[in-house]
Amino acid sequence: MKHILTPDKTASPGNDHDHPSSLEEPLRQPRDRRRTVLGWMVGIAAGAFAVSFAVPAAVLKALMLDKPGIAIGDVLTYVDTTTGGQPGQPFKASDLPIGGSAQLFPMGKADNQDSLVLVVRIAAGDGVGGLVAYSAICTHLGCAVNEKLNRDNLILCPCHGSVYDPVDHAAVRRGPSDRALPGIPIADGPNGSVIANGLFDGPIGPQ
Amino acid sequence: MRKTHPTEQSAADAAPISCTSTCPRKAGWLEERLQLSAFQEKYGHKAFPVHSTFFLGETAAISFLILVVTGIYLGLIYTPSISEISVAGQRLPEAFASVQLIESIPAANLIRNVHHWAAHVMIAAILLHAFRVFFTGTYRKPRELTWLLGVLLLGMTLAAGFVGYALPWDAFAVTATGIGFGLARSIPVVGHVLGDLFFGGAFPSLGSLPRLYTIHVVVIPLSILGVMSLHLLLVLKQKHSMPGYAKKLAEPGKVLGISLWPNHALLAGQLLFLVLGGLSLLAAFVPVHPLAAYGPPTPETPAVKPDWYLLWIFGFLKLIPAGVGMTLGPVTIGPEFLGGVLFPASVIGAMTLVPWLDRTNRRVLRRFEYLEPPPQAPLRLALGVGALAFVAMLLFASYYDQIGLTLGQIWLLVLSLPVVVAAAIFSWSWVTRQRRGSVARFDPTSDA
Repeated sequence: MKHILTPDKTASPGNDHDHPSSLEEPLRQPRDRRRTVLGWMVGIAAGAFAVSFAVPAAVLKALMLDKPGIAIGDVLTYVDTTTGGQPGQPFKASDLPIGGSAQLFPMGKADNQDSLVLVVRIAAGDGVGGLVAYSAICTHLGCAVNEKLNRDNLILCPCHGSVYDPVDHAAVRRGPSDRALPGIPIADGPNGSVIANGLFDGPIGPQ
Repeated sequence: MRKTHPTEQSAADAAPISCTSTCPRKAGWLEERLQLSAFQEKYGHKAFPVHSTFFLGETAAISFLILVVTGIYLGLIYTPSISEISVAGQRLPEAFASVQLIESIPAANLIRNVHHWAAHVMIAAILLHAFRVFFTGTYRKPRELTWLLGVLLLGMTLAAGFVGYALPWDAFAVTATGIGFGLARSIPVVGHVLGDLFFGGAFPSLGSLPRLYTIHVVVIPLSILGVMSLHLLLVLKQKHSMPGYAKKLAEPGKVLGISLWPNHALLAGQLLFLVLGGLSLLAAFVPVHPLAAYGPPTPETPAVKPDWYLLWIFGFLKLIPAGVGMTLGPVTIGPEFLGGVLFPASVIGAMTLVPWLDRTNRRVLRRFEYLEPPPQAPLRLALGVGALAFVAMLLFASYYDQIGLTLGQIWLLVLSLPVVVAAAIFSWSWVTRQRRGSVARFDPTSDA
C-alpha cells in the first residue's frame, strides 16, 4: 500500500476533472503559495544551518611554533657536516672553494626552516667577496633546495626539478618554479665568520 | 475476565501432544525477538551475479575494514605531536618516537605494515573496479549515481592515503605534507584559508598533526563509510549488472546469480581471509616505508616521490615549464595550482562526468543490465586505454630528468604516445567490429 499525496488532491480536496478551470484556480492558488513559501523557508533554514558551520571552522586556531626569523647581525652557522663544518658552528667564508655551496642557519634559529640560507661562492675573493646568499626554500612548493650545486653549477630543487642560477640572482632556469629565490645581503663578521646584513628581499617559499 | 478463551487454551495444550514429525521447529531465542527469518526472506535470497571481476569492489571494502581495525590498534600507541622529546639521548619529535616504538614491537610492526599495504590494495582495487565498470559500460543508466559515489570514494581514499603520509613525521612525511600545504595554499582566493584549516596554520606548526590525525582517523573514514554504504545500497536496490551469458540463461528482468545468504556471504568470507592472508604475507616479507629509510626531519629535503597512486600528479608538476601562470587582479594562478590542483581536479572531474559524456547513455532508453564486451565500443575502449597510457606516461615523466630526457622530449612523449595508442586501439576494434558485422553484436540493455 503506497500513500502518495499528489498536488492535485491536496491542493483542492474533492477536485473533480469536470470542474471548469476558472473555478479551480482560486481554490489552488493560496495553498500553492503557502507551500512555496514554506519550501523556501525550509531551504533558507537548512542553508543557514550549513553556513553556520563556517564560523567555528574559520576560528579553528592551532598552536603555532614560536619561530624567530633572521635578523641583521645574525651569525650564519653550519646546518650539517656535509661541507666540512660542524652543525651550529659559525660558517667561515674561507671554507668554500669556487663553485662550493653550503646550507646555513642564523645562530640559534635552526627551528625555523624559513630562515635556511644557501651560500654559494661564485668567484674568488676575501671574506664575503665572491659569495652570494639566497633563501634555500624553493619558491615552487617549499622544499629545501639541494645543498650541492648540480653538474652545471646551478641550484637544483630535489622535489620537482626547478633550477636556479646562482650567478644571476637565483633566476629560474627551469620550471616548474616561476619566481627567483629571494636573496639576502651578507657581510663579514668577527673571526672570518659571515653575518646577515639585511633581510630576504622577497617572500620565502610558495605564495 | 480472568479466564482466557477456552478454544485457544485447548489448542495450545493439545499441540505438543499431537505434533510429531510435521511439527514446525521451535523458533530460536533471537528469532522469537527479531524475526530474522523475515529479513532473510526479504534480502537473503537476493541474487548476486558471479564473475571474477565482481570481487574487486568487495576487495576494496574488505581492505577498508582491515584499515579500520589495524588503524584503531595503531592509534592506541601513536602520539600526534611534533613536540621534541628525549628518547635514548636523542631529541625526536614525539610522533616519530611513537612510530619508532610501534616498529620496535614485532606484532605492532606487522600491523603497521598490514595497514600500509592495505592502503595500497584498497586504492588498487578501487581503480581496477573502476576500469571494469568503465570498459564494460555499466556506469550507464540506471547506475550513474553509483559511479558518481564510486569516484567520490576513490578521491577520499587518495586523500586518506596522502594525509596518512604525514603521521610518522619523518623527513619524507614533512616534505610530502609540506608540498600538500603549498598546493592547498596555491588555490586562488580561498587557498590560505583552506591551508590553515586543514593543516593547522602555517605548516609545520604544533597544530598540524592533531588536525591531520583527526582528518585521517575520523573525518575521512566516516565519510568513506557513509558513501560506501550508499554505494552498496544502490547496488542492492538496482541489482548488480550481469555478465553477458546471463541474458541467454535468465528470463528478462530476472537476475542470474547466487543468493546473498549464505552463498555470496560465504564467498565474501573467503575473500576476506584471502585478502588478509595476502596482506599479512606482504607485511611480513616486504617492508614498506620503514622509519630508518628517511630518519627524523632535517633542514635538507630528501629527494621524495609520492607513492604510485599520487605519482601521476607529481609527474605533471614536473612537466610545467618555467614562467607558466598569470595574475588577474587579486587572483594569482601559479604553476603549483595548475599542476597540483587544477590538473588532478580535471582528471577526477572528467571521470565523474563519464556517464553523461557517453552518448549511448542518452540515445538508448532502456536500462543497461549486462556487461558490454569492451571491443564492441571502440571509442570508449580507445579513450580509456589512451587515458591510461597518458597516466602511465606521467609516471614515466616523474623520472624524466634522471633518464636524461629534456623537457621538450618528455612533453612530446606524454602527448603523442597516448594518442598513438588510442588511435591504434580504435582502428583495431573498429575493423574487428566491421568484420564481424551486426550479427555478433551483443545488446547490453535489458529487454524488460
